[in-house]
Amino acid sequence: MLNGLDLLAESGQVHAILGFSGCGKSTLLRLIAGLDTADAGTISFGQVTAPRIGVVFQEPRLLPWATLSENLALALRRVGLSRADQARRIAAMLELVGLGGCGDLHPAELSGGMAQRAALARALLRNPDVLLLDEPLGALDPLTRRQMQDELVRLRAHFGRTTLLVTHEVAEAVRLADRISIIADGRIAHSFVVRAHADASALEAAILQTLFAAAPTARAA
Amino acid sequence: MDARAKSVVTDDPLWLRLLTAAAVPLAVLCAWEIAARAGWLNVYLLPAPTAVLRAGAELARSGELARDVGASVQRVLVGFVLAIVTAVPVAVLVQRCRTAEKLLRFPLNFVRATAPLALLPLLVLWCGIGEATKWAVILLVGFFPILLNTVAGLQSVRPQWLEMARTLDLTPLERVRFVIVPAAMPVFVAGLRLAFGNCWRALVGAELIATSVGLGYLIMDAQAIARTDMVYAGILVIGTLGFAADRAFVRLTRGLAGGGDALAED
Repeated sequence: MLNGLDLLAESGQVHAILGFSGCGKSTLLRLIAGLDTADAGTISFGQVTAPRIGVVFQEPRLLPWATLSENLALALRRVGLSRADQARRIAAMLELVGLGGCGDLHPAELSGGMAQRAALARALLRNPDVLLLDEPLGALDPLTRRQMQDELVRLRAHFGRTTLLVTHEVAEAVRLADRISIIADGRIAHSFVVRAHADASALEAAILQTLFAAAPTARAA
Repeated sequence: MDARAKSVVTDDPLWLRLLTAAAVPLAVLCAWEIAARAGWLNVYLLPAPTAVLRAGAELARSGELARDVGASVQRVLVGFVLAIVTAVPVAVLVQRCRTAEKLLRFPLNFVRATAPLALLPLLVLWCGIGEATKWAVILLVGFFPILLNTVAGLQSVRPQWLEMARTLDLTPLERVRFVIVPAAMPVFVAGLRLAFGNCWRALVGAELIATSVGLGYLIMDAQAIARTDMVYAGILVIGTLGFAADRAFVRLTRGLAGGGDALAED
C-alpha cells in the first residue's frame, strides 16, 4: 500500500497527514505504533531507541466495564508509581483535558467528545515521545469536532515531542499542524509548512488543489 | 446504568414482591391441605403438605437429611469443578486455534447431542459403580454450557481493545487480566449458572446407580419403603437448594458484570 514513502517528522512539531481514503494514512500510523509490520523499510525515532508512543484512535477504545480512572491507570502500568501518585497523575490529567472530577464515571456515561478527551488523556499519560492521532475527531459531530479542535490547540504544549495527525479535513490540519504532508500513490506527494499568521484560507486552497491533483482519478472513473 | 437496571426490579416494596411470588404456591398448598384432610385425595399419592413437612422434620432430626444433602452437594461440586477445569481449557484452545476448532467441532457436537443418562451404562462399565460415575454424569451435563459460554465470552473481546492494550505496552498477562477476563466474564458466569443448574438437576439421575447416600438415593429409598411423604420432602429439598444456588449465581453475576452492558458501547 505504502511504497517509497519518506517522511521526516520534526521533533516538537505537529505533522498532519492528509490523503484520500485508502491512501495508507492509517497504515502509516499503525506501522509507527508497531501494530502492523512493514515488508521493508525503517522507522527510526532519532536518538530514542525505545520510544514511548501514545495513540488515539478514531474510536475512544475505553474499556466499558472500567471507570475512567481505571481506564487511564492502564497507561501507567509501565511507569511504576505508588497508588497515590498514580491517582494524583490521573486526576491532574483528567483536569487538563477538561474531565476534572469525572474519574468515577463509566464510558457509557460520557458523550462522544468526552470519551475522546479521555482517550487523549490516556495517550498523554504515557508522556509520549511520539503522539499518533488517527483521525481522532473523525467520529464526532461537526460542533463537537470544532470544539475539540480548539481543545487540541490548547493542549498542544502537552503533546510530547512529536505528533502525527492523520485527518480527512484540510481545515483541521491547517489549524493544528506545523507541517502538512499529502500522501498519494503510497508516497508523500507534497509537503506544506504552516506559518503562523499566514493566510489560512489561501493555504487550504493550495492544499486542496494539490490533493485533487493527486487524486486517484484512474480508479475514480 | 446500574440504577436503571435495579429500578425495574425494585419498583414494588419487598413484602409485596414476596407476596406476589408466594401467592400462587400458597393458594395451591392450602387447597391441597384442605383436600387431603377432607379425604378427597389419595394421601398415599398426594400426602398433605403438613405431612411432607413432618417427614422432612423427621429426616432432619435423624441426621439422615444432613448426610444426604452433604453427599449430594459434594458430588455436584466435584462434578461442577471438573466441568470447569476441563471445559475452560478446551474453550480457550478452540477459540485460539482454528485447526483445533475444526477438528473438535464435530466430536464435541456429537457428544453434546448424546444424553448423559444414555451414557450411564457405559460410564458404569468404565468408572465402576463408585463416586467416579456420578462425577462423570455431572461433569458431562455441566461441560457444554461452560464450554459454549466461555467461547462466546472470549469472542466478545473486541480486537480494538486488545490493540489499545498493545499501544499501552501491556504484557500478555496484563491483557488477559485487564481486558480478556473482564470482557468475557459476564457471559462466562452466565454459563456457570446454566451449568450448575444442569448439574444439580442431573444429580438424581447420577444417584440412581448403586448409592446408599444422597438426595437421589433418599427419594428412591423412600419410594421403595412406600413413604411418599419422604419422597416429597426430598424433592422439596432438592428444589429449594437448586433455587438457592441459582439465586446465588444471579448475585454473583451482578457483582462481576459491573460493566454489565459491556457489549453495548465502544
